[in-house]
Amino acid sequence: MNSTNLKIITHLRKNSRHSVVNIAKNLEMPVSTVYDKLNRLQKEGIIKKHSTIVDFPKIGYNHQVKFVLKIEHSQIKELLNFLKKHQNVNSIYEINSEFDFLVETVHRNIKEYLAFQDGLEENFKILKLQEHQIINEIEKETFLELNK
Amino acid sequence: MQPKHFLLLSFLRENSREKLTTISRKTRIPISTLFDLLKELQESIIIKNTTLINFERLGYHTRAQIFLRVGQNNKEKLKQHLILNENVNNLFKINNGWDFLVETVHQNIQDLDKFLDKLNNNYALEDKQLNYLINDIKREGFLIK
Repeated sequence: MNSTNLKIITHLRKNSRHSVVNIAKNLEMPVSTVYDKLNRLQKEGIIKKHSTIVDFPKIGYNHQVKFVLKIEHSQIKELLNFLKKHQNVNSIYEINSEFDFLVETVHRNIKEYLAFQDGLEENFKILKLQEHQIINEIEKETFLELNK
Repeated sequence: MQPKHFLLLSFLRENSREKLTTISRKTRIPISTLFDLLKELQESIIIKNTTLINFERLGYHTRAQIFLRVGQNNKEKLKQHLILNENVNNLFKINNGWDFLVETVHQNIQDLDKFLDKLNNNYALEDKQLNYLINDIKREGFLIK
């Protein structure tokens, strides 16, 4: 990874809505160079996606949960299909520990979360589950952010 | 929050670099309205617009999600350390037996070890649960249609 690409990435990590013109100006580089490099970073899969991080409680989603779970091996594919399609699931990570996955979900309230949890337990043989409510999001996506 | 706010958020969650002209064409909402909606969202609801990276492709081969429990005296000090630490990508205050869940990114496992040693030595961790991150299956998918 050359330093120019890294500089473009740190700018986008800080604010992905910055225009190519703006980034080029900040880096004192030709606009065409930034444009080409950005396209390449996307094509090569180094950039996964550009997204907006939202304060979920401020839009009425007051119950955010992080849970780790271990599931019967034969149900992994089915579980992932369920979680990937589920509208309340924000993120899913495969992890390597006594658990298989770490999942983040977002709900309006605890009642909605309990309904989600019931659906999970009715449809899958969960061997182990450890749940935690998010009290506060302190840092979000700050690694390689400009000026961190 | 009106349906139009949610609609705009949905587009931005899917692609935060999407131009308002494109969103206007797709939603048939006038650009001037979208501009005002975006301004409102940025003032209160949007924490940041960012780019999600495949860190492994940049040479960062070790990522972890770590649950941490620490004594009351060290809680704030640990939080400040984690906020300033360059390896920390996400940090949450959580309940149910743990104080923090931290996601970190490192070049290799030795770097992660050093990071953990520092936490143990300087903040007297009561307990930790280390989960190596193998694969992102879904990232920031909520509110995307």
